[in-house]
Amino acid sequence: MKKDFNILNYFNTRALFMGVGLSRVLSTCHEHIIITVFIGMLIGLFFLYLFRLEMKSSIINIFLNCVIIIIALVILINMISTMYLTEMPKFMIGVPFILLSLYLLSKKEIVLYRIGGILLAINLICYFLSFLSLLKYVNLNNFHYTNTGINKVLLAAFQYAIFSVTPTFFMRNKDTKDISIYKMYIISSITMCVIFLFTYGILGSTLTGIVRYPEYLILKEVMISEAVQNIENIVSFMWIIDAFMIISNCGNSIKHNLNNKNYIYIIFPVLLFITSYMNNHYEYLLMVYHYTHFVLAGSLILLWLANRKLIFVKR
Amino acid sequence: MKKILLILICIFALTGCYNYYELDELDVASSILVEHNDGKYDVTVEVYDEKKTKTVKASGKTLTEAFENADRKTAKNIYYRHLNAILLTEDVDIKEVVYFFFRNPDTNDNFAFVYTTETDIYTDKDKNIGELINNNLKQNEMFTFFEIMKNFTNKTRDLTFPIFDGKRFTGIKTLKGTKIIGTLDEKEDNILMPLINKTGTYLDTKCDDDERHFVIKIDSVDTDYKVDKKIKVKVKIEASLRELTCDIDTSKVEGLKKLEKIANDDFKDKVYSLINKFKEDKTDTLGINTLINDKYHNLDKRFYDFDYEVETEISIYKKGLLLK
Repeated sequence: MKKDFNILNYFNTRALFMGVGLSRVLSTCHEHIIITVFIGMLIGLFFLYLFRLEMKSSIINIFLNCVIIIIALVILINMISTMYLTEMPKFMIGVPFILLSLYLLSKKEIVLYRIGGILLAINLICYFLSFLSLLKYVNLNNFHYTNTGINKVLLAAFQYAIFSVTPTFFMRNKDTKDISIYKMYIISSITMCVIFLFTYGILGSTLTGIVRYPEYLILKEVMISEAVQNIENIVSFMWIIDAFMIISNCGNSIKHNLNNKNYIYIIFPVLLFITSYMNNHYEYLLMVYHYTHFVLAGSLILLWLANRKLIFVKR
Repeated sequence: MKKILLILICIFALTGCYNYYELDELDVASSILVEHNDGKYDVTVEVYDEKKTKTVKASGKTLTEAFENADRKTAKNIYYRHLNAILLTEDVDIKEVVYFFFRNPDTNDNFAFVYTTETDIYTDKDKNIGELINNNLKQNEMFTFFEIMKNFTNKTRDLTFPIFDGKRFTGIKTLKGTKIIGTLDEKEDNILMPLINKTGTYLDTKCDDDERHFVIKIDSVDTDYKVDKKIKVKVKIEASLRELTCDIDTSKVEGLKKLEKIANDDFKDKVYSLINKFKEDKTDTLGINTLINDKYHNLDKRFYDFDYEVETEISIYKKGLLLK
């Protein structure tokens, strides 16, 4: 149980960086990315140590999980629509993810953990393949001076902590509230730090800030010798897996908060309609890009208020 | 039943059938020539036609309109994922073209970006211009779209583009921002490459006192810049001897050392004169301003305000099969 729950947290820590978190953090802290991730990780660990939240059955918790699902779905669908399936309606792109998640959630919780384990292996293969292939493209000259002050570094570190740690709190329930996830959080943060370094080292300061999905763009450089090229669509599965898992995790959390578990079959399609509507109006995508960290911080505060009687309890 | 229903829905949704095209419905683009005449963009798309090539010409007020018109002129859809090269004429606004292709995810990022002095380049249908350019520039990733896009947006150094005259490469155009400032000929191009840590170029050096010469190929290079009161440029080259008509016996150590010294002195002079050319043109092709900014955290003094001190070290480590 402990190991399985920790695997899910590997995805929770990383998922919201795709499309939003990564470019926000990088365009704030620029060349100071290592120190930013380190400080951000410490803040994240501090949050994890400080707050022992247990999700109670409440409408607020369901709402907050829905917010995370909406953010993840918006980012995921928009990425697929921008990069792979440019002509496909965005609603149709979301359908298989929602169906698969619902199918997963219709099973016992252990199935979610097992799927998490399998997808972790695929995720790590993609990750190491990208790592080995991209190493030679990292240019240290890109880490040049950009007049970024300490306040921006701290802001970016705080953003990092918010993006990485918020989804983790949403998975806590009476069965999982005591499981220590520090190790997995650190491992996940290290993998993210490498992605941050590679993205900045390959794309440089300005380009990272102006491009959508810089984490996907660098994968275009991945090739296995000269013969096998254009495999970015395969290695970028790691981001899709992250997003899919966080959607399923939040769905599982919603299921825990529901008295009648069958309501999940209504909630998910409704969320898909909302995200499809948002994806078809670019102003909402810009809102997701500019305000997600505020939404996540607000969600965390709301979560604390809804479950505050358990806060500051010493382990 | 529930499983079968789910699988069926997923199968149909996962195929991405909205983007689906059969191969015979596609015209695969190999290269594109972009011109700007009388306020209009003229594009010529070279597409694969079995073993030969064919071209599609179109024009429009914007690049989008020009490419749309080109697409309408063919019975098939033009496919840009296997693009080898884009050729620009001098009148084209480089910024517009870079951002146009940058915004469009339906292209690969490793096609070459070159300037052309000729516009009538697609006359020989047996010759694939896109592949010709790509094969020639394959070794040098600095002219790929991805690299140009990075340098263009990050502004770490001023851009350079190879010049293609329809048959071969004749040198390099240097830019300041988006404006073409100067031209480097093939010999200057060969000096520039090691200065930006690129290998594979040839140095042709005259012997001491006659018209005879020798040619070395740069196999490895390590160029380092240091910003101080002067800009110190240190170039360390390992080269192989490719051609020797001089009267120097390289089977002896003294002969080889003499050859290295001649190559070294000649290369150093050429580096100085190239740097002076960049200073005159005020084009930061070497990316020195970024280093100055890194050191002083401001750009009160630019790269052309500094004096330069060049140190070169060429060692010939291969001579081929001949002892002499």
